[in-house]
Parts: sequence; structure tokens; C-alpha cells
Amino acid sequence: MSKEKKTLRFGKNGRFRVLMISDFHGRPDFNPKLTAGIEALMKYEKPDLVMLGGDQLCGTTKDELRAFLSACLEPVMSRGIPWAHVFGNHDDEQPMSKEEQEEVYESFELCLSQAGPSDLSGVGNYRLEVLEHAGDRPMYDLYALDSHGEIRDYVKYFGLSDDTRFILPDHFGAGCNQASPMFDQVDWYFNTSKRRERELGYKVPALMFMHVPIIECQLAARNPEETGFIGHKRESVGSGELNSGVFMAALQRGDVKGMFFGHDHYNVFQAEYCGISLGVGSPMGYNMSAHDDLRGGRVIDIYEDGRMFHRSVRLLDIMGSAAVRDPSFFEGGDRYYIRIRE
Amino acid sequence: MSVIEMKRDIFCVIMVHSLGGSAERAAPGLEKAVRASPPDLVILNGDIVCGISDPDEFASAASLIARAAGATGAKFAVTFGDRDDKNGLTRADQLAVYRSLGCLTEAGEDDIDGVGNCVISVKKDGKTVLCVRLFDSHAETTAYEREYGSPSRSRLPYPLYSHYYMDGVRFNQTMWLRRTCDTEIPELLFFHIPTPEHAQLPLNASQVGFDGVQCEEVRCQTVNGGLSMTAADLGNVLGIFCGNDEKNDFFGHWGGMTLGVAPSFAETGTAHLIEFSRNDGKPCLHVSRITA
Repeated sequence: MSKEKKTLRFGKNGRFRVLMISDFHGRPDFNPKLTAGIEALMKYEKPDLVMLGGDQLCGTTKDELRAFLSACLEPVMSRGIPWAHVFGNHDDEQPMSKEEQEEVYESFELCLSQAGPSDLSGVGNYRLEVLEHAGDRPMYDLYALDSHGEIRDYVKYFGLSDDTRFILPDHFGAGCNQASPMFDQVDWYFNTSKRRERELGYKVPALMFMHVPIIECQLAARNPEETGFIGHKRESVGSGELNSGVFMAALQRGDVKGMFFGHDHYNVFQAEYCGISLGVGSPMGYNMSAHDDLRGGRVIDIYEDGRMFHRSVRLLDIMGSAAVRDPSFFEGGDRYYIRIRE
Repeated sequence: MSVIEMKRDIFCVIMVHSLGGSAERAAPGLEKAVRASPPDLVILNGDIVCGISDPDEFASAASLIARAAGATGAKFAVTFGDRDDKNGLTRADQLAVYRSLGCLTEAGEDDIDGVGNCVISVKKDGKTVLCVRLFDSHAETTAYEREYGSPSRSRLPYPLYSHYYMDGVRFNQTMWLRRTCDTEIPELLFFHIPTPEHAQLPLNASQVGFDGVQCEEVRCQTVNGGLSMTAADLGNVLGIFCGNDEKNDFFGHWGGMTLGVAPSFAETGTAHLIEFSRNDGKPCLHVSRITA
């Protein structure tokens, strides 16, 4: 029973729906509107899997995190929908290590997250598979990667002592110093994907989830016409400017249809670059800087025949003013700065 | 694997690229640069003989360059750059011509992208003391349309660092480096198109000990293939030396390595001189320029 519940399988209509929500920035005393927002999304979108896109961030003890997750994910758990997560840059700054946090996540019955191979950098590099409706052939792979914190994490990853004269730049062309998945993680993805193609005899289409956007998102946002940019970009994309070639790896493997990121609070957009669709931003949190008209999730519909569509769904659209943090003041993009009178 | 004997305490490499459309014009300058500092190895780092469709003409142009490079008896090796595609010959055919002239570059493994991904090992007393690794850095991102079925609108007018759609060393080539590298032996990497990390150097001049000039945007790779990060991680890579730019001429320290971008030889007559030696048993690199 439980095992079948945790198996991801395409529906009768050949569709499987992933809802990505990220950046809860939860605190032990989090705003209950978060739960209401998730409830509305669950009711409205009826996803088959919920993916938490990082920066869940709560408290200093395992119990606090467990209590937070069970409270805010109550709408997911009560419906018996499996869920998974990736870690964000702020999860890294917690007093609790990511390994400890991972234990809490995995203690939930329907959480599909895995710590991943222990020899890889970071915690939570794993693959989920979505099986065909009538049978057991995997038709879609979902890769989750830990995208670490800042670019200086590379120094730690390289295993160098602090006094090594190892210089990473302060100034970037686009001003971004976030990290990205390390080489061994990308290597793991590439080899896993290759091995699966060899074993199964066909290329399994895939989605990739991580917290910090990659620099190609920045590139796409700069070229809205060419990349079919849809959405809002109200701050610079918080991507890592230097990376281990994760986009190039996906391009070379040719299996990744879409890559999805959280991290940005004021950017919610999607664009396509080199045939790979990029979805940035699904901010949900109420205890963080955010715009009321951007708060929401991302719905990713994958189909048994390999097609993939995604769109952002905004709480304001489905909940109306109940989604606004402070009813007396509406926070939004420049043209949304209006006071709402009761 | 090609092997060179290290005869002196110093192993000296001269790197030039973009020799221009006319081998007759470039060859005397190259010979002058080579004679000025007799190197152990001359690396023709891409855009060597360009714009020639006739195979015989190509062979005679290549032999002029090869003769100039070998003027002092040094061995030479080639990597391919974006403009090498503009000849009538494929890269594999061009490599066959160069190899017939004594070039050390080998075609490389079949399952990784590009022609001429190879390692030249430098031996002293029968022991490998240095590896010189060459990559094919391809041409432009238009190749993604052909090879990966990307839509043609993937050519973006506003890339990050430069307005050229440069391809570069790709991810599976980076994996090859990772797979085949012996971290005990120092390595030098050579290829034509700079990585995005090269483009970071002029932005962080004071941090990286920037040595040289930046006169134009760095025509670096558009989609990062992860090479520089991996090389920094490996820890045995002493330097990554690239070309592609016309006037930019700089070195800088990044990630414990020396990154270099050389200017076009046809344009400036400048060659980069990379000298490897061992100081108290520690590998040590000295970089400088020679202008013909």
C-alpha cells in the first residue's frame, strides 16, 4: 500500500503534474497564510507530486523543523500526495547540518527525498522516476541536485585549507556570486542518464530541480524575444556566474526538457534556451521579502510521450486578496503599488 | 600518447594562435619568435590556416607554418579553433595533414566531442614530469542546432561577456580530463576559446594579479562547460592558455592556476611563452610574451 503510494505513475490521461513551491523561509512562528496558500494550490492544481525548491529553513532543532513541515505541508500530507525537496542556500546556513535536516525530511512517510550517494558533494542529489500508466517502464526522470550556497563553497569543495591562496573573484560580469552544483554532482547526473539509456534501450526524458538558478537563466532573461520569456523579472537573477557546466551537461545528454529553480523572490519567469526550458522562481513564503502578486508555485505537466509544459500559478489569481500578506498594504511590482481599502 | 623528452631543466612552450589568412605572411614572424627563444614545444592554438578550400593549397600553407614552428628543431602541436572550420577540409583531414608534417596532436577518443583532444607527456629520465593537454574547443553555438537539435533562436544577441556566440570545451571533454588526469603530474591545458573564468580576470584585476591588457570583450565560451572549475579542483593543473581574442593579451591567477589569453599572432605578432621548471621539487610556471 505504502509502496504503491510512493510510486510515481502517469495518470490515465498520460499526464503527471509536479507542483514546485519554494522559499518558505519558515520560522517556528511562521505565517499561517503559507498553509492556506499551499491548500489553495493543492485544491486548484491537484498535483501528483509536490517539489519543495529549497530555503525551507526552520528553527534550530529537528523537532522544530518536523513541526514546521507537518504544519505547512498539512494540505499535501492529508491528501496523501508524495513530496520531495532540494536544499537551498539558506538551509545551509542553519545551525543544523543538512544531513540532520535530511533525516527529518526522510522521516515523513510520503517524502521521496533521498540523501543521495554519500560520495557526492552536498546532500539530496537523487533521481525519482515516473512510471508509465499501464506498466512499469520509467517514462520520465526527475533529478534533484543540491546547489549549495555561495561561490566560495567551491573552495570548501576543493578541499583546500583556508590559508591556501585560492582566489575566487569578487566581481562578476552580472554581479552574481551564488554557487551551483559541483562537478561531481553534474558528473553523477551525466553518467546516471547515460547508464539508464544503455540499460533501458531508450532515452528517458528528464526534469532537473535545484535551488539556485544557473547563469543560463540570466542569459535567457537578457534576451526575452529569442528565448520566449514569459513572466516577471524585477531583480537580477540570483544565479551563480561560474559553474561546473550543468547546463552544458544537460544539453549534451539531450534528455533534460526543463530545469527548475527557486531562490529568486522577485523573479518569476520561464524561458527556453538551446531547447531546454528554464523555470525560475516559485516563491511561497510570507516571512521574507516578496511581492504579493508574484507569490505562488510552478506547475509542470509532463506527459508519457515526453512532452512537458510548465507555467507559474499565482496565489493572487486563485485566492484573491486572501493571498496578500498585509491587507492594508499591497506589495507588488511598480505598477501594483496600490493601497487596498477594505 | 605522444612523448617529448625534456632535455633541459626548463621546459619551454611557445603558444600562438590566429595566424591569419596568409601563411606566407605569418611564417617568417613565427620563425622569428621561435628563434628568439628556442622552445621545446610550439603550440599552434587554433585558427592556424584559415579560409583555404583546396587541399593542396592547405597542405602547402600548413607546411610553411610547420617549417617555421620547427625552425629550431622543436616539436609542434595544434588545437582547432573556430575559424579552422572555414577550410575546405574537415578537422580530421586537417589533422592528418598536420600529422604528416610532424604534429604531435592525436585525434583523441571517439566518444568525446571534437578532434584533437590529446595528452602530450613530457618525460625526463623516463619519468613523466609534465602533461600538456590539448582540447578541441569547437566553433560557435550554432553547432548546438546541428548536434543537439536546439532551435536556431538559441543564438542570443546579448550573451554575458561578449557578443560572439562562442562554443568551447564541452562537458564530456571536461569529464575526460577528470577521468584521465593523474593528479600527481602537473598539467598545462591549451585550447582556442577562453572559458568564462578567463573573462573574469579583467574584472578582478587586483585580486588575480592581472598582467596584460584588455582592449576588447573577451570572446569566451557562452555556455560554461565546467573546465576551469574542474581544473582548479584537480589541483595539478598549472595553467590554462587560450586564444581567440584579437587584441586582448593577459595572464592572471585564478583558482591556484595561471589563466592566459593571447592576442592574435597575425594582428600583434605576440606569442605567449610558458616555461615550466621545478623549484625545490615544486612545479613552477613562468609566463611571458615574445613579440616577433
